[in-house]
Amino acid sequence: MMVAALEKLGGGLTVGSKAVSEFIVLVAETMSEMLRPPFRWRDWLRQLHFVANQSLPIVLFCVCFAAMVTILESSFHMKMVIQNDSMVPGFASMLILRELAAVVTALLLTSRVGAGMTAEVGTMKITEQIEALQMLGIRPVQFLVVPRLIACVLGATILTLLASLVCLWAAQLVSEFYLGFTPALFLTAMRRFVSFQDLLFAGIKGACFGAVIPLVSCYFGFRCQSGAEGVGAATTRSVVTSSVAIIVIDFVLSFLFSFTY
Amino acid sequence: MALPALQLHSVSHSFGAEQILNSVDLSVENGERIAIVGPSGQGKSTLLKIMAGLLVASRGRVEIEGADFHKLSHEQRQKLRCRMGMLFQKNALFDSLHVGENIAFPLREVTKQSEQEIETLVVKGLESVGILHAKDLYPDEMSGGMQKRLGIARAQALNPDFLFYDDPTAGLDPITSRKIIDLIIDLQEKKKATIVVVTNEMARAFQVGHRVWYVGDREVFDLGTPEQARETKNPKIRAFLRGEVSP
Repeated sequence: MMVAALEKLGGGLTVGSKAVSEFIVLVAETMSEMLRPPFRWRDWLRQLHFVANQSLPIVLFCVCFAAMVTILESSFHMKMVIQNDSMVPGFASMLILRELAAVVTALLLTSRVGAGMTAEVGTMKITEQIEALQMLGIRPVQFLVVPRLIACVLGATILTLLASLVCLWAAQLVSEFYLGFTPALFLTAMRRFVSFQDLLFAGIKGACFGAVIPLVSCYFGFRCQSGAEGVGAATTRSVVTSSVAIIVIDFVLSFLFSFTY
Repeated sequence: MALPALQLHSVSHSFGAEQILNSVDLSVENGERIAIVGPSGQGKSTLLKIMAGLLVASRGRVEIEGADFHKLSHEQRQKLRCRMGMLFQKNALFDSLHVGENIAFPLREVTKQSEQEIETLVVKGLESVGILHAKDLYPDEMSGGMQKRLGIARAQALNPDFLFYDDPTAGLDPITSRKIIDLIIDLQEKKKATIVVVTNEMARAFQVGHRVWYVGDREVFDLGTPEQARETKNPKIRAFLRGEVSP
């Protein structure tokens, strides 16, 4: 039984290390293809429209509610512990700018954009469309991954910044109409806790998360097994892996940024 | 003496531990039509993809007009690719593009022709396979036979010297199958292209092939002309060609 378990563990590690090395190869290939012509501007813009424009309503809608919950919960707990919620606007703003906007936006993009990318690339793989591209001398990574990567990095950065601002606005509205903070009071409290640097870091996080989503999605798409089940499995793996990667990268970046505060 | 269009030198291929092809040595002459037959899952499509340069053989090499395909520079390989066309088993049509755009796609990607010239070629290409009326449809809106015709038109779009057809009659009724093979032969005779066709239908293989290859038990046998193939002494192959249960 012990031997079987060790064999299973060994097999898992082998598969895992192979997957990691294949992913690194994909990342390296994508980086080198970004610098090689042809530069497919139209594809980049089409993907940017899909990533940014079409995701904007759902992202803003969701982050608004996340911001409102954050400020309400902060107020409730501060009142419970220190019987005073005067620091709520500051704390909530800090949380929104440093974590909430970037992470919620990225997780929403993972499910909306990343899942779509895996399904699209996976379907192309199993219907031999990727081989058809190769037959035309088109490099699949350059044709499929590069436009999505550029669009996602730009789109996620823009969406994160917009989401941060809309979050703050939603938080301010709740704090004004439910907690009784005037806009001036909210801004004063906010300024004490956050600075422009926080918005900049939110943008950096957005860009990093934006890079993870298409790379992971296309990786699983390229390795999709045939059949509807194969596409489904690849999409599930892609969404789970991207989400986990975003949480881990968020921790790493937050840790690194903490040295600058 | 002219070099063969395509040569396989000791080509072996495995998927993981499973060996599919073992030391295949064969060649195809310019303007020749080869029909590849054999039981399912024995490596016919794998052989075709190795010949087309889509798969790198585990061992051995593929030479196209004397040049080792996988040792060419990126530019040379790109140039050679433009002289190849392929019809895939599942057609591999770009389902987000309509019929006309499927033909225009390789022309836009590979050539520097104007949109007007491309439009003319698209119309010509669709006419040649008899589906001009479907120009604005999406592949999913067409029948299997029409999709095959579109696949053939797209494979022919760059007017290639080498054409690879992976089971062009799969899933088609006998009449449509015959028409598709007639079309392949007709187009090949106009261009004098070198073509390799994988098929599971013996009648179509004998109709299209100048020579017939049999793929089975990790080996590829050149059976010669269709007439010679019919007279093969190998009982297993003879049974296969006649659709009988092998002895």
